[in-house]
Amino acid sequence: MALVMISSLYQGGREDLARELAAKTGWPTLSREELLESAKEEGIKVGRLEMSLIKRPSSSEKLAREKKLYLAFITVNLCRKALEGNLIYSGRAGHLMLPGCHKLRVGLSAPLDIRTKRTAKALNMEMEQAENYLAQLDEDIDRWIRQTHHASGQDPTKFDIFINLENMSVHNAAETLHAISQLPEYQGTLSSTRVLEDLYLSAQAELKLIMDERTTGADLRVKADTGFISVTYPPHQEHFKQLIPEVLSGLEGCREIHCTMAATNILWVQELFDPKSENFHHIMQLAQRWGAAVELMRLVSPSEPLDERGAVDMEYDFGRWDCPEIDDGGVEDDDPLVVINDGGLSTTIEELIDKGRCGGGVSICGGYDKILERVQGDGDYALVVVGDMFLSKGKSTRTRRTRELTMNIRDRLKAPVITADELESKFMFGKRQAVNLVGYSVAVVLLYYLVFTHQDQVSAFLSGPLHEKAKWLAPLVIFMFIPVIAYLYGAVTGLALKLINID
Amino acid sequence: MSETRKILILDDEPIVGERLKTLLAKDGHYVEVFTDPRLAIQRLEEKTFDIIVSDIRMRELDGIQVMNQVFQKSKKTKVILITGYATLELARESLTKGAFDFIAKPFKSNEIRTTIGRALEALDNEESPRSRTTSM
Repeated sequence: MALVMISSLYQGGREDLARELAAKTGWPTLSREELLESAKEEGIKVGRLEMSLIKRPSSSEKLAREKKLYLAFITVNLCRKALEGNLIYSGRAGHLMLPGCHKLRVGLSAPLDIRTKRTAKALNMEMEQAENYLAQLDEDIDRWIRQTHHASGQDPTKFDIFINLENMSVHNAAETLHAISQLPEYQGTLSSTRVLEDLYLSAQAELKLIMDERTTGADLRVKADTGFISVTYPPHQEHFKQLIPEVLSGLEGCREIHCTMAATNILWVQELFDPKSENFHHIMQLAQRWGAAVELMRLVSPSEPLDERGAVDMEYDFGRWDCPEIDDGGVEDDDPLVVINDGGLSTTIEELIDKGRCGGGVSICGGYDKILERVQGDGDYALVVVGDMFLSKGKSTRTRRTRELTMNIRDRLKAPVITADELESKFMFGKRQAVNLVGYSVAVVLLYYLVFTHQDQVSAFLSGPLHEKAKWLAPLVIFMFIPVIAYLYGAVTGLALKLINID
Repeated sequence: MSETRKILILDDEPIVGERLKTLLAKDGHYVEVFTDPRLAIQRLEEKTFDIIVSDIRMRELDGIQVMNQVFQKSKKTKVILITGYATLELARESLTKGAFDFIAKPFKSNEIRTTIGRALEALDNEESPRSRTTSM
C-alpha cells in the first residue's frame, strides 16, 4: 500500500504530477480541491477560514473550532481513502497531513517564470499582474500552512523528496516517484496501518463530537488506540462527560470509550487579555510544556465605571454558528448579542482553542471572593497566575493590591499562586536566566578551582597552624561556605533543568 | 453625500438578492436584483451603477467575467464579489483583477453593510478629491 502526498504552491505542477503518476500506476487520486468541495457540502465554512488570512474576522466570528472541524473532516476523508489501498494526494501541504502514518512526502517546485506564465494563461492575466498575484498568494499560502499545520510549508526536513521541475519533465518525475514508492521504507506495514486506523478512528470521533449539537462547544482532546477511544475534557466542561459516550455510540471500530478530566490546569486571572502579549506567550509555553489547559478569568473591579467594565458576569461558551433553519443563501442575520468590550477575553479564548489549550473563560466583577466563587471544581489548579490587574491605579497601588490579591487567593486555594512577573523568573528560560546560568556556573567552577588548587592552604586552615591559632574560625567558615556552595549549585542545576524544560 | 447610490446585486440564488435588497434598501440605497448574469449585463449597458455585488460561481457567466464587463463600461464602479466557494486563490484573483472586496459566504449582514460603506466612502473620495483635501 503506497501513500504519495504531493505538495506544491499554486501552478507548481502538483495536479499534473498526480495525474501522470496515476496514469502510470493506476492508483486513485484525491486533490485538496475535491476535499474542499466535500467539506463545503457538509456545511464547513472553509471559505471563511481561508479568508481569515486576508481579512481579519470580526470579533463575533469564532473560527478556531471551525478549523478543528475542517481538519477532522479532511483527516477522516483522507484516511478513508488511504485505507482502501494506494493513494495519490495533491494539495498545498499534503506532506503535513496524516502525521505519524507511513507516506511518501513529496515537495514539488517549478521556476517562478514558468509558474507566472502558467498563471497568466490560466487566469487570463498580464504577466506583471500574474507575478504580483503569485507573490501575494505564495505569502498567503505560507501563512495558511503555518496557521493550520503549525509548520512551515517549505521546511525541507518535512519532505522525503523534493523535486524541482526546472530540468525534469513531469513524466520523469512520475517515474522517479513510482520507483521510490516501491522501496520498502514507503510500503505500509501492519503497525503503520494500525497508526492510520487509529488516526481514522480518532478523527471520526472528533468529527462526530464537533458536529453533534450536544457536544459542539466542548474543548475535547481525542485519541484512539486499537479501538479504544480516550476523550479528555477540561474541568469546567464536566457536564459533557455523560454526553460523550452517547454521541460516540455506534462508531464503527470503537471498542471502548474512556472519558477523563484533564489533570493539569492553569488559572490565569487578569483584567485585560491580549493573545499577542508577553504574558500570553509565557503562559502558553508553560501550558504546552505541561500539557495543561488554561482557564481565563477576567476580573473587573466594581469601582470601575460601567462603560469600562464591558461585558461582565458572562461565561464564554462558543460553538459554531448554528446552521440556519431556513435557507438564507449565506446572508445571515447579525448576532443579537454582540460583545463590544470583553477585555480581549474572546480573542484570547479563540487563540487557546486554536492551540488546543482552552480551559474556558469567564468575566466577573468583584474581588478575590468572586474568584473563589467561580473557580472550577475544587479549585485544584496546577498553577494560578495573577496577571496585570488594577490597571487604572498608580504603580505602587497596583503592585500592593496585586500582592494582596495573590495572597488572598493563595490562602484560600490549594494551588500555588504567582504573579505574571514571577512567571518568567520561575518557569521560563530567557536572557536573564541565561546570564544567571553562566554567572552561577562560573562562580561554582571558580570555587572548586580555588579549593582544589589551594589544598595546602585549605588543609592549613582546617587543621594546620592557622587552625591552632583560632579553632573557632574553621567551623564558622565551613558553616557559612556550605550554604553558599549549595545555593550556587542548586541555582545552576535549577536553571539547567529549566533550560531543558523540566520543572 | 446624501445622493442615493445605485447598487446592482447579481446572484443566481434568488434568496440572496431578496435578503440583500431588503437590507440595503433599508439603508436608503437604490437596489436592483438579478439572478441571470446575461440580463444583468444587459442592464449594465443601459445604466451605470455605483456598486455591483455579484456571486462568482454562476451557470452562464462567472462573477469575474461580469466584473470585466463592468470595468469596460465604467472604471469607477466598485465590484464586490461574494462566493460560497472561497479560496485564497480565488480571492487573490478577484482582488488582482480589480474587485473592491471579496466576501466568503456565509456572511453576516453587517459585513456586507460595512463593505458597501467602505466602497461608498472610496467613491466619495474619488469624486470629490478637493473636499477630501480640505477636510484633511
